[in-house]
Amino acid sequence: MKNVWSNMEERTKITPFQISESSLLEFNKKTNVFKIGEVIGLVIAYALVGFVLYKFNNLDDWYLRLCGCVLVIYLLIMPIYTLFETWKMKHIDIVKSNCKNVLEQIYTAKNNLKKAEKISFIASPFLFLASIVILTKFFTDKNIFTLNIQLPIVFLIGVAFLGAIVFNIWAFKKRDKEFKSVKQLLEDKN
Amino acid sequence: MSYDFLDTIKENERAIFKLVRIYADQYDDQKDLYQEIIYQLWKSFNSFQGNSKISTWIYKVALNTSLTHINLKNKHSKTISIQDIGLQFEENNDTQLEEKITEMYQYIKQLNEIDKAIVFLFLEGKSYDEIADIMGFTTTNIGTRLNRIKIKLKNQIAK
Repeated sequence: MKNVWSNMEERTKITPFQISESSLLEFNKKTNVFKIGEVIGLVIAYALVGFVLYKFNNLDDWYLRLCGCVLVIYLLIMPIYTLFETWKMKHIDIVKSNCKNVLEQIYTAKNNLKKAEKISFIASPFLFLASIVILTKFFTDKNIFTLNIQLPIVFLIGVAFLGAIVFNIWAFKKRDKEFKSVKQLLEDKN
Repeated sequence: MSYDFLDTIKENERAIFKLVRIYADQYDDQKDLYQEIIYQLWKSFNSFQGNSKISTWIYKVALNTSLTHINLKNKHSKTISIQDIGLQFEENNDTQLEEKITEMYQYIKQLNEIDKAIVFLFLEGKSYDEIADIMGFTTTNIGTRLNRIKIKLKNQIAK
């Protein structure tokens, strides 16, 4: 294998590359622009928080207020937490760290993101329901809980709600499998 | 752009090419990774303090960039490229050697991320101490791991 490796060095020609500072600066600028894209989600979430807080007085029952509070707290914490962990992962000091440290930092950030993802998977059907309740109140001034909804529709909503939970658990488990490889890799190191 | 940077990259570009081929399969991925490594080296070149060999520093940055790149690829893949940086292996006329190279890469690619890095450094002729420094393991651990990798590779080749 060593022979093949050194023969490869001797016999394989590579095209000489040209490099200019302007092109690297341009690349630097473009990679920074990408971070703005990630912030858009945060802006949308915070705009929704502002909207819910602005209209909060319209929520005249305790359970409507509870829905509002849950939605606001979730939207305030989760996007910023996810963004922070993503930022941490993208800003690992690859110059000062050794490979083991880099993998450990990636794993820690991924682990934290996984926890956030887990919460999101579990919370999303409830948040979806809370959003419907709140938005119905804001836009039609009707309390969805007091509306006379027919039983089959209630049943369908229930099935859809449970279906969403089951789907999310399945999707999360699938995602979890990919993640385990990094974990195993780090455990293998000692 | 300092002359030293270009000079240093020129001296180590073959090693970077070889590394890129280990961690990325497709040409486009190899190109992305190669550009990312050059970019990271350029960005941090002034921070090199001469505490270790420049080649050791380059290997460390290149390997760390590769590990970060492959782990974040799906989530944060970039579609932008640096216009002036080319990545092209010229066709090798020796088909027998080319076959052996392809076969060697196939075996290396079956290893995990850490083992790939260790094999790469070993094939590049780095000492156990240097490999330990770059990887962040003890020298003894590197020895143990290399033995394990050799057995693994032998078994793969024997199949």
